Amino acid sequence: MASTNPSWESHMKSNFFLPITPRGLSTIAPPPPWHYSGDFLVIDFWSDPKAAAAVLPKELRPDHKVEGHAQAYFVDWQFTGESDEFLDPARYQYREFFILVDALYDGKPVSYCPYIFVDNDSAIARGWAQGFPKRRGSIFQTRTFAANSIAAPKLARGSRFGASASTAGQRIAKGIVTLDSEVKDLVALASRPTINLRHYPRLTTGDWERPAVHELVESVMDNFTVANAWGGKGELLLPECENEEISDLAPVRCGNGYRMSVSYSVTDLKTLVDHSSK
Amino acid sequence: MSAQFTFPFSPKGKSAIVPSPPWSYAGDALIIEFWAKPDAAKALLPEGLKLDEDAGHAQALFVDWQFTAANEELLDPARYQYREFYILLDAVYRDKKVAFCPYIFVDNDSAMARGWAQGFPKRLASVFQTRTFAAPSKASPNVAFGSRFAGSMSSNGQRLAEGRVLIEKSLDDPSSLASRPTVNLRHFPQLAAGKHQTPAVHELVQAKFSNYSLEDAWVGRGELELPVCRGEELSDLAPVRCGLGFRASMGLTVDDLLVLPT
Repeated sequence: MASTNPSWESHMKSNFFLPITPRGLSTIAPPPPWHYSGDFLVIDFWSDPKAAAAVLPKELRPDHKVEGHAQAYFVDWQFTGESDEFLDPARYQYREFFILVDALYDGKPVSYCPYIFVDNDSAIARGWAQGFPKRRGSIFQTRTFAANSIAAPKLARGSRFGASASTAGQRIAKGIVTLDSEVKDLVALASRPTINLRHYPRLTTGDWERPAVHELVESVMDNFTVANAWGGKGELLLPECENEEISDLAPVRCGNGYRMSVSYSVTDLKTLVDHSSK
Repeated sequence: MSAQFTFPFSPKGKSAIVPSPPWSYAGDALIIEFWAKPDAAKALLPEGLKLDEDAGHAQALFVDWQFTAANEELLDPARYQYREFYILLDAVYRDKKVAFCPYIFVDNDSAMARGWAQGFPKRLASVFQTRTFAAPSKASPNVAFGSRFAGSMSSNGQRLAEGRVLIEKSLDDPSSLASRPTVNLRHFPQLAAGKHQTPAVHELVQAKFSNYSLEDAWVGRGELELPVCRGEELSDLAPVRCGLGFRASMGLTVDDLLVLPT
């Protein structure tokens, strides 16, 4: 039913994405700014350095100092644009799993996202605009609630949070974080700048390897905020699956695990190298 | 890393959301002819297209698709089978009769990525349609006079489309079902601040289908509803009246498209 609440349809949205429609309501994602709040489970791990190097685009170099270091992220996200999208959870809430591999760009420590899975199409579209190579998956993570129950771990020493990701019926990742202590010094959590590859192909015969858009970009996140951060032990499995290569990054060993709430906004990105074929 | 059609760019290319073309498709389609309000149809046409004489004439299509590229993707139904709902609006490009796709919904991410490369503005949804099976049963309509088939599409928990087709006779010449070339708008935005309204790609294209085949085509009556839903504009095209309904099997290959000057 059409709502009588004016906030739902009161203003025309400009068309940033497809489909392009008269009032902009049917768009797969509203135009930026995009605002995000989420609960993170983060697991430090080390891949075979050769496997980590093999997923990097050519301008990025392996960071040999860290020997294949990477992080796995499971995130339970809430999103909004400027039209109360957070009140439409069916269309805009989503869950995500991704990997960031440590690398060097021009000698500077960065991280690169080779694999990312989400359970929502609006998040897929926004990800593609940012250069995140999103596919669809099913992602789940243990949550915490204010009311006491055995079904809800507290943010406390010894609590455990689990997470998993599947795509097209195959379990591609499983993680567990066991909390040890609150992280007071949030600087320790500061991650490297995230580097992505924005890509939009051409389908014209003969042009399949001349993408219309192919640019190395650095993600720009505004008002990045971390709250309720806890650290402890992280464990991650990336099982072998038919016709999937993410398991090439399977941990040789795992390290710290974290749970925290994170928020930020996106309105921009920085193009580092533009290989788009004109 | 060798050149790949699209992301993720894994070392062997197996993790890609879409394998490289050529892409081949087989599917069963329900097609419903209808007329939308001409102003509503016109409001969706991009620059370069105008309304045809029979203003507001359109088709709604439900398709149950199987896909493959060169590596037996047809044997991985979980990753590559999908179902689709879309609208085609009659339009004119430089005196040529064409059909423009303003809305399209699929239930699979690989189909969504291929669609974006072709300029189909795909979103994700749940799409279903009645099927037919070889073994006789009340649960399976035969492809025969008086049989009824239905389709529906929901996105984010809202029912956006419902269709029904009653078939009456076999179509000896099904070519009229797909007489107009499909025209799409390839679009990819820029996220850099100050460039949000300057897309990196924004081009009118004509789809090119090869090995096109239509079999077991039947015609009868079609009915379509596009209910009003919160935050959605598809219902602006709600039928003023409906016309013929069709059911047919389709096969085609995609390995090219034509960029249309505007």
